[in-house]
Amino acid sequence: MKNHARLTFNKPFEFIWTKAIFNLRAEVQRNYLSYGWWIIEPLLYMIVYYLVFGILLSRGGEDFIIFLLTGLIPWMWFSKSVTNSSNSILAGQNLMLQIGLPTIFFPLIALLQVTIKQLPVFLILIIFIWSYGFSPGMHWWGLIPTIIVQVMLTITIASAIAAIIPFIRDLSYLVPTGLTLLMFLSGIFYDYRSIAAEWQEIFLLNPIAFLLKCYRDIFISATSPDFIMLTYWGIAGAVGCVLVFISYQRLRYVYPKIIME
Amino acid sequence: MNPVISLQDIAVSYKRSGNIFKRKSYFEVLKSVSFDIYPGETLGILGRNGAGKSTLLRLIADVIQPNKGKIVNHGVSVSLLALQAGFDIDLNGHDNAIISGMLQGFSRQEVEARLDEIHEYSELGDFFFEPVRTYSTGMSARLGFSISTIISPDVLLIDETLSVGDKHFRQKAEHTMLAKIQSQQTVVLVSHTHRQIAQLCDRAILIDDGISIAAGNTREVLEAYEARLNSSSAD
Repeated sequence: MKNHARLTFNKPFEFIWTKAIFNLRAEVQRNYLSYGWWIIEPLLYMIVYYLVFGILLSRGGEDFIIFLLTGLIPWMWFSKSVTNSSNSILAGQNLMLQIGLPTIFFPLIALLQVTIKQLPVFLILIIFIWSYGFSPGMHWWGLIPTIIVQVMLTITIASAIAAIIPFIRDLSYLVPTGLTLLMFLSGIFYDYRSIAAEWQEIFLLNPIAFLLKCYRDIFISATSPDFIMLTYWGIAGAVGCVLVFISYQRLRYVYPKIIME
Repeated sequence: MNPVISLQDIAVSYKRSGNIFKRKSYFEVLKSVSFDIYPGETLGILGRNGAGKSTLLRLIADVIQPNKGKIVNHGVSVSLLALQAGFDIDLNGHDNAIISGMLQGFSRQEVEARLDEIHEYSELGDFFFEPVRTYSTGMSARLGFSISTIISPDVLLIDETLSVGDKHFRQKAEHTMLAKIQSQQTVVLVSHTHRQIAQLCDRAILIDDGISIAAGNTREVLEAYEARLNSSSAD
């Protein structure tokens, strides 16, 4: 602990929070519709998917729109987190060479930025579900552990990908493809119960598929999510976060160098 | 007097990028550099372009670590004077000052308490509240320097000529730096310009071919530097 910057970064969250908010401010102030995009963009996505899967392919029944939204919105939160943080270390290279700030700040700022943007979308989802007749009850408390587990898994996966990309930059080309594959394997447009029974258990080993099932259990089936599995994933997420933090700590002198190379 | 930071036989090498068609290779920027930094002094580091001066500052600032050798810090805070570090051109001067100040190690509250001071020093007027992308090069340089006036680490590292805008502001900035240098502030100044080192430094180190070849009295080291430059241009 000898660097001035490092020594006095005793309020890391204050910096991450301020930077995320300012980044959003910078992003927004260039657009004509300003903050409106936070709602319009996800709305456009939903309309596209609804047109294709709900109307053209006429999947699902009457409640298909609710089914689709409860899967799509948590998915978009995850996928945007991974996309935005994946190149964050490379994007911060100039700064990293001048100031010894902890490298993990870069993906965390990107994650927080995405999360703040997703909040109004989540709120609209909840209002929509409610107005559709799926009223809240005790089972809605299940949302808290579900969201916490999603946050921990997202931090682990997104930061791990962000950590690897500076070493093997080619990997950044695989991120979009990987996310598309994961999207189709997570049951956003179809119910996992519609696949062959012997595959269902394996299908739910995909944490994203499992999390989407939790959201649907709560919102649509009005039951509590599978708390036992949720606990397992919670432990996995917590261990993952710790491992990611340790790795970043160990690699802190490595990144400024590989970036110059 | 005991040194605040000691560099002992430092070597740094970088990897030259390789891929499946090209084998990777290494090149040594610094081969063997040793010197001490004493409290209160202004130490000049001389060397040609590409001599590894910036790498040396990054080592002292604890941004990177050497491949060989040791840097001993005797408990002092070190900061690289990073003008305009982390500037976002879509944010206004005010917001950039907050982020930049926080990056220099201040809490948000501490920066906000000194924003008026920064604003005034920068002479940006109402432009302080306009996005930095609307600034001229000189204006953003002024903002960058103004933010840095609030920092005071134990050891301040300065890289090359400070680009700080027009003549009037440059004189003001040099005056501020001079005041800092003449106070008890320990400064390490890296430059390839004769004039700056000769004017400001108590002591100098000459780095050539990755090795620290001369250290001591500024005038003597400058003479050694001149001799080196002349002999290599004669080759």
